[in-house]
Amino acid sequence: MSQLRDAAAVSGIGETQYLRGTDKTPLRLTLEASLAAIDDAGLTPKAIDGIVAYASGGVVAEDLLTAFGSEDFLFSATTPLGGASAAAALQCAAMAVATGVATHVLIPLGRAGYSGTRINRRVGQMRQFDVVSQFEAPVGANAPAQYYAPMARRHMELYGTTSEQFGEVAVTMRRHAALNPNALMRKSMSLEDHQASRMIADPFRLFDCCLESDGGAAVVVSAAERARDMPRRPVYLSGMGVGHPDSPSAITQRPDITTLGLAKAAPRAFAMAGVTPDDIDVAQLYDCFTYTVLCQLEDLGYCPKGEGGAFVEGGRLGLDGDLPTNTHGGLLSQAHVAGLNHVVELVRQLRGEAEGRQVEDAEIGLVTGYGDLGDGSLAIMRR
Amino acid sequence: MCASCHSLEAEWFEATGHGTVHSWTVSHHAFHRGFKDTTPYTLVTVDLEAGVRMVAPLASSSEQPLRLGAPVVLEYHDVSNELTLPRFRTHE
Repeated sequence: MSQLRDAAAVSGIGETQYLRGTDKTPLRLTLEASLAAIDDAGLTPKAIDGIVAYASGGVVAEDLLTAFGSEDFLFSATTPLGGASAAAALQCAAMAVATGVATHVLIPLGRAGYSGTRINRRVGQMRQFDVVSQFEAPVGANAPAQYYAPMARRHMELYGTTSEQFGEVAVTMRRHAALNPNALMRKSMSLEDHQASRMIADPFRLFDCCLESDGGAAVVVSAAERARDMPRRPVYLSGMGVGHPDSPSAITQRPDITTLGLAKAAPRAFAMAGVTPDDIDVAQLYDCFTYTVLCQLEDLGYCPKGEGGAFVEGGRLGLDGDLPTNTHGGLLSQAHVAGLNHVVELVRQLRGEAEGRQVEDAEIGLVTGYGDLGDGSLAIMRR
Repeated sequence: MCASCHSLEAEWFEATGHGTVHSWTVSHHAFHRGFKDTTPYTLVTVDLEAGVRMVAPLASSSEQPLRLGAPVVLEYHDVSNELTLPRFRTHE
């Protein structure tokens, strides 16, 4: 059995209000969310002695050290996996507190994704996308929608996946967002609304694409035996894994563009936790696009490759379905905090604090991350 | 570096420009102002005979709709006196 299974727990969570339009800087949003998470953990900022800062954001560990007036951080790291960073940071933090290198590790993430630098600008500045910047951007592939659309198109052509199945994901996430006071998009959406939304990068329509938003989220990770003496019910980190796709430099260079790094991360995390996909009561899946959700369901092992479209039909991802998914509304309808909002929501569900959208008797859940055009991460938690 | 044998040696050779469609997307929204006047445009991902994949626009005169495995060939398009870009056309 892995030494890391249940050796660490999430002891505090925090979020800002999510917005589209703010004067606040990413640092300010990071600090607001961090203070909320530290307070939730029953700690003061100076008790934080480790940090996993967001590698793709503008905020570094030194900013928090300065702001907290702390003497030092005993542990400082980043997990450079784009949208997979948040779930990967849980693995990193768990290792730090389980080994005694640090006591309380903060994972903060604040971004002005709407009011500050937009994603298509950031992609062009990232070293890991050099192949894309040199060979694909000059011919008109300039934003994530255009990089991911061919994955979805190939899936549709090979397996008969339909736009209506993508719509099923969008409509379900929106229904969940309507139950969440801190979600940006709460107006009801029908499958007809999804089908009528304008085409962005075929097969992706507007409602297949996630939001760009402003806000921050943060969590505190502590050693399990310490978390049991802290004010909140501990949510244990049972299994964690990360994985990169074959040929991570560009989606186009992969042997199989319909399989993500998560396909490698999933067996590692399930084995560490000692559970199977059937044991999961609630799932928070990184949903930069609707297609990404059904592809990850395949890579997690919920169904064979090609059957993700059929899997999401019939309300299976709804609160009353077999696998309630993105109960906060996800990146599609809550907000885009690079998936740390998914981590916060999973903890809330497993604590039993998801008012109005609580999955009954949720004991075990999972959260995925997906970023940098294919990196995957997975954390399995239990109460 | 070659990911199979880790050789650092490399050489140029001329590719035939022939390949088959691996996937595609039709861009209706221009994410860069340089492409505002050309939407909608189709970007094809092509398995080149040379053994790599390449992305380029599909010439507007090409046959539609596309299908996986459809044969295409690369050509060069003079966008202006100073700019030449690759594009594919269908080649049944």
